[in-house]
Amino acid sequence: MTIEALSNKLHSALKLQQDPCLIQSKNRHFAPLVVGEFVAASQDFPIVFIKEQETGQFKSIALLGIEPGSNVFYSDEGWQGNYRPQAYSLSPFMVSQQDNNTDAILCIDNKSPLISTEHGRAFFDEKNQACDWVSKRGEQVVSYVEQTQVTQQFIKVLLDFELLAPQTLTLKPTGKSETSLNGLYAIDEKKLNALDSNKFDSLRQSGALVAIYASLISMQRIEALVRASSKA
Amino acid sequence: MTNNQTKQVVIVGGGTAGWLTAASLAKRFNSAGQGNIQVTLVESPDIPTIGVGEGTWPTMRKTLANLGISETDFMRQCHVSLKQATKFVNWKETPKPGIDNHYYHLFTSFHDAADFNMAPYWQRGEVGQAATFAQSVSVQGAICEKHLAPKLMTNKEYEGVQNYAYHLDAGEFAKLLKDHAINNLGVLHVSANVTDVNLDDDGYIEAVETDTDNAIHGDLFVDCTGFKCLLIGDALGVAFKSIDDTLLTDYAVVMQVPYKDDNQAIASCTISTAQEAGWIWDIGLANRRGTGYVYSSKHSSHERAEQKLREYIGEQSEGLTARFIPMNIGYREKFWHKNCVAVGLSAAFIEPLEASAIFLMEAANNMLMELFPRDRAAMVMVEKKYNDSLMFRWNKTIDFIKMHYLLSRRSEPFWLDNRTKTTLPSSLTDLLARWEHHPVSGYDFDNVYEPFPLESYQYILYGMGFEQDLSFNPGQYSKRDQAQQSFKKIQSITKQVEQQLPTNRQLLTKIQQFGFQKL
Repeated sequence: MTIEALSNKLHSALKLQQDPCLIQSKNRHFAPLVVGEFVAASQDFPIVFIKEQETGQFKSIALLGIEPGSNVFYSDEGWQGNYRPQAYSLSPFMVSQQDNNTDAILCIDNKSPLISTEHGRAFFDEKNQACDWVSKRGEQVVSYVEQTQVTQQFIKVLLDFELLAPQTLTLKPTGKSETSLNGLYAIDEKKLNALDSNKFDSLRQSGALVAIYASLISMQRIEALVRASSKA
Repeated sequence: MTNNQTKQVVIVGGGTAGWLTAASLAKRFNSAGQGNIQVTLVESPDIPTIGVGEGTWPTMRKTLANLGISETDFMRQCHVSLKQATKFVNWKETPKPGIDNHYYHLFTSFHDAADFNMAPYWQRGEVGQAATFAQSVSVQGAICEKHLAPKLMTNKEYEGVQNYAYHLDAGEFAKLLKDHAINNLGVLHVSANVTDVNLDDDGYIEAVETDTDNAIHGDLFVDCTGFKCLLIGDALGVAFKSIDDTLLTDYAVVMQVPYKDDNQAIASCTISTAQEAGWIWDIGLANRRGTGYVYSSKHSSHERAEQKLREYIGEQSEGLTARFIPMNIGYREKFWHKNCVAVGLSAAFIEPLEASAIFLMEAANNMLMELFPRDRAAMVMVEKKYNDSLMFRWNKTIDFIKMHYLLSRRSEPFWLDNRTKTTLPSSLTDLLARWEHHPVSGYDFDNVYEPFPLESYQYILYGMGFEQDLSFNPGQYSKRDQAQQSFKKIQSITKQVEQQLPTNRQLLTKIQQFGFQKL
């Protein structure tokens, strides 16, 4: 990956292709999710929580496969889900922000296979101004970064209220050997129901409730994931 | 108040012993709740704590978890680093250039020796001919050599990839326990000097007089006044039994050493380096090292001891001041007398070679909580049980420490004196005589409250090069294949965990920023 601030000096000749397959998701068995994506994502993927290897901090993810390196939603013919997780769909755009006081700088991953000088939409117009679609994508990335912070707050509430519980999924895809997925955490429905009214009310007021239920309901997608893994 | 129930516990003395006891009792008895047993701690605002006990055993994880303290908070406040062994350097023999002379006493063994004991196979040369005993039975020595941590950021609080304990700043630790005890557990705190101890007609402590308050009455008193031993010693007259005829060290000179820079490795084990008249501890905390030379003043002048410590530390010792601590090695003839229990230095003190001080406080507290007597009639029974059990544990600890000296082949006068017959407890020499021809067995340790497990003895014996002849009854060692498979497995796991684990310093830095999760 080569991250460069998007500039009309360096990148005026570059074009970006459509990304029907979510190329970034190839061989990834999960996609990081922000809390605003939970409802839409819950129709396709189990939404669970894992710990970041380096920091031990929780993050929310959509499970895309049941073993490392396997993504059942990825296909060269096009993405097999309805919802496209932003962690991959925003690629190759990202923002860089030194600290809270400076403006975020829109960057691109220069090594992305979606970027070339031949195919797709140009980043810059004939006046060498960033095209409208680029500005829009930039806004989406900034909003995604903001959502990441909201998601951290959401996870903090889940931890403070002790609503997460470790979950080991033992799965048996047809024609394959049994696999266990460790290190997953899911919302504990019993603990949610046992919350006192004040805490429960605060979840409702902060808008966390819908995300919590989306995650709970999304667990029904595990079976579909196992079925898809059997075919693969 | 002879017939009254035990409702008021008064602890005299702060420090690690006092606050650990206060917090443990208050938590267990739910003292914050109305009508429950009340715990009061009287602490002198003028007396500083000794504050050099900086190593714990893995038991501390359970103790802290039970108290409801977050491991992240504990590690941040007390400058904690993680400890997974003691490394003994130059203990085997007087160092010679070019000859490696160290061994590990580890916390984790691959097999529980009760399930499968690899030691005889190693001893008979059937596995790990080129490897040390520790390397043959555990991955942890290799981890220590590379200063790696025993856990990952993804491990939850109090859980590790390997078994571990702590190195901590004792002063901060007492503060943390104090805040928790007062604010969360309902311990009452009185800041005052105890001026007198009032006894009743039966010789039980009725109250302690203070210089600021009225007398503080209680039903059970805990003496945590350290070497002063105000209650069980001065007031109740329980005699002190010196053990300077067995353990010969009587002084420590200590120095706190800053790290050179933020990149210097933080050891994930305690390093104990033998010297001409004792040994030096080296404990790497998150923010500094704590070092100290424990020595015999009969075998070394104080000046020479300080010089040896400075030589050990090297140029970093320049400008640092040394502090001398006289050590009264021994124990009270009783730890529990009438309605008074001694915990910490007031009960006993032995050299900190195996970091037993804080462990024995935990052990004392656990027993006190579990057997807590209803009234004075019940105290008489408990007193005996408690004294027998803790005396057993102290004696075993003394023997275990003595074993390190006995097995050494160092040749300086201090070391020769340590091996003279008159200094050797028969409880130790009997066991060693048996082990000359037999493997160490679980049946050698038939008390459930043995402070040191079988594995600890094996690490010291084989690390020290104890000569053992296991040619008798060779038919019993029929699991050679299993031993060899285990050996191979341990070697391959060693490589894996070396890849996986962060360094102790990396982990400690990350804890400052992120902390561990509770689940």
